[in-house]
Amino acid sequence: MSNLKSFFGTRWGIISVGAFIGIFAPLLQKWGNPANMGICVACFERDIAGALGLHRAAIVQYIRPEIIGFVLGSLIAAYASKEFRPRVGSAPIVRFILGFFAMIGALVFLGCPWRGLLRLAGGDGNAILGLAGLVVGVAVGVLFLKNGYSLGRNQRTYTSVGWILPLIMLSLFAFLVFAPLAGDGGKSGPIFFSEKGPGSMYAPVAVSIIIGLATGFLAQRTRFCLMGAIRDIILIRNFHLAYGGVALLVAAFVTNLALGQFHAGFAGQPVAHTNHIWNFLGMSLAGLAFALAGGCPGRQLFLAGEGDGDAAMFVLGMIIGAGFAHNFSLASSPTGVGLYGPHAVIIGLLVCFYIGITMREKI
Amino acid sequence: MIIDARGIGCPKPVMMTEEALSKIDEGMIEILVDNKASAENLTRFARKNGFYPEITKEDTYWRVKIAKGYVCKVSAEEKTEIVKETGEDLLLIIATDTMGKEEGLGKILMKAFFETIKAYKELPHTIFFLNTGVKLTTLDEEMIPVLKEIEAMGVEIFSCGTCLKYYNLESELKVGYRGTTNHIVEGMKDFKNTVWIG
Repeated sequence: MSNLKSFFGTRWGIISVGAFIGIFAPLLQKWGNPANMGICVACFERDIAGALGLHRAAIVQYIRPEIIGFVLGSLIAAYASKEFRPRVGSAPIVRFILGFFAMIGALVFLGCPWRGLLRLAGGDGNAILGLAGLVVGVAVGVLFLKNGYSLGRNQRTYTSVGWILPLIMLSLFAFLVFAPLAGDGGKSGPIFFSEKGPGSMYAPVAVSIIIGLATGFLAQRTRFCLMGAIRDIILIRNFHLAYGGVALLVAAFVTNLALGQFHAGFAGQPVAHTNHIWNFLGMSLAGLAFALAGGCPGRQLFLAGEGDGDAAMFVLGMIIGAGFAHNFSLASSPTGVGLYGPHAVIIGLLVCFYIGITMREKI
Repeated sequence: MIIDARGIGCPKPVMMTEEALSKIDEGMIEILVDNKASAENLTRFARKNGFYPEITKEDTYWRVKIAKGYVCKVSAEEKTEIVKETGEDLLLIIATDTMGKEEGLGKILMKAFFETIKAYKELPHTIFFLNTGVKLTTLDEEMIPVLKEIEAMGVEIFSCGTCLKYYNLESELKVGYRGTTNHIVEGMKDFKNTVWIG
């Protein structure tokens, strides 16, 4: 066990987790999930927001078991390794707002960092703009960090507090299982399930939840984070986390080739648009918000699973942000950016600058 | 100096430590962190920058000590004196691939030792590797470039033939030449000083 423990901290540990996600995301796509979206934390949280009726974009509503699995897998790993640490109090409202705008930026691009890599591995050239934006956003975040930006200290709290997001996830699972029995089975609530579009495409629940749990477990052990990967390279020239990202990209590329899911090009890519400027700027906003909040959407779920109530606030901010993104016509669609998407990105960037500039302490 | 980084999220603890270490030439900094990942990040950061880290687990947090400096410095005058006395006349024998008993630490120390020799140009005339020491001239990816640089500075490097044969590393020699125990026996007679490590 101690050998296994130390393995997770090594370069091969992080590579194996990246490879795991890179292999199973395309497989999930083959088993039913939307194209180039085997796993996407932002899109899947958006689908959950839709299923709960927080937005009524009828094509993106489903309770994604992968998200539930990420949190609970991390919870199990944290308990197994005695790393469950309930904690809260490091600027929760700021985390909520960062999550909110991170989601808006991600939905202007149409993907979280993981999906950015998965889209690239599926041949979607638009992902290059998104990933470039992500790097720039994180680099700006690093500038704030270097100038003393800090969200402040958290505090230990009751175990029950650390359980709140995991319990919300268990509730979502109950909704997923029982929703078809309630109301009219998902047409007019209380839980909405898409009948067409990406929301109607999903792998079998058991498969999704098992892969979600395994990913959550492994990612908690290894601290897998794509924002952290970029930040650590820029900030301290450390490539440890980046090996995980490279492994994800390579594994997904090879798996896509093997499954015949690789189609290179810019136009007509699945759940993507070709507006280079807003692909870039949307992800810049998301990257900056991730950097200021200390983790990509996936990492926030894993942190929440190990008891971090502040990361849980970020997650809730993302889910609520997804509701706003569709209700306010901010989210992009394959036809292009939303009517007010660009406005929201600029407002989001201003909010992030406001937070980054004002929350400084002398170190 | 103690930095209390408990309750502070990644990557702040590393940044605070880096900042504190940059302000001192020599000394010890203690950082308190409340999670293992942060403690591991700190040790990784310390090792990468050539500092010596040590982790202790307290009941609800981790204490990471990082030592910077503590290199023996001598004045220029003393230095020439020493060179006269030892320098040219020093035979260094390395009979191990780890400095001291704790293997993980020993390997770090061994590398640090040669890097210091190189940096301060305190070069022996000849370095002779024997027993597990020959792994340093054959297998150790991190040591070989350092040793190559030392060799380029005019130091003669030999690895014990019997030892290479014993470990089946004869074709693997990456730096220096094959030597025999004659080098040691004659060396002890010819050189003014012999330093034996291992």
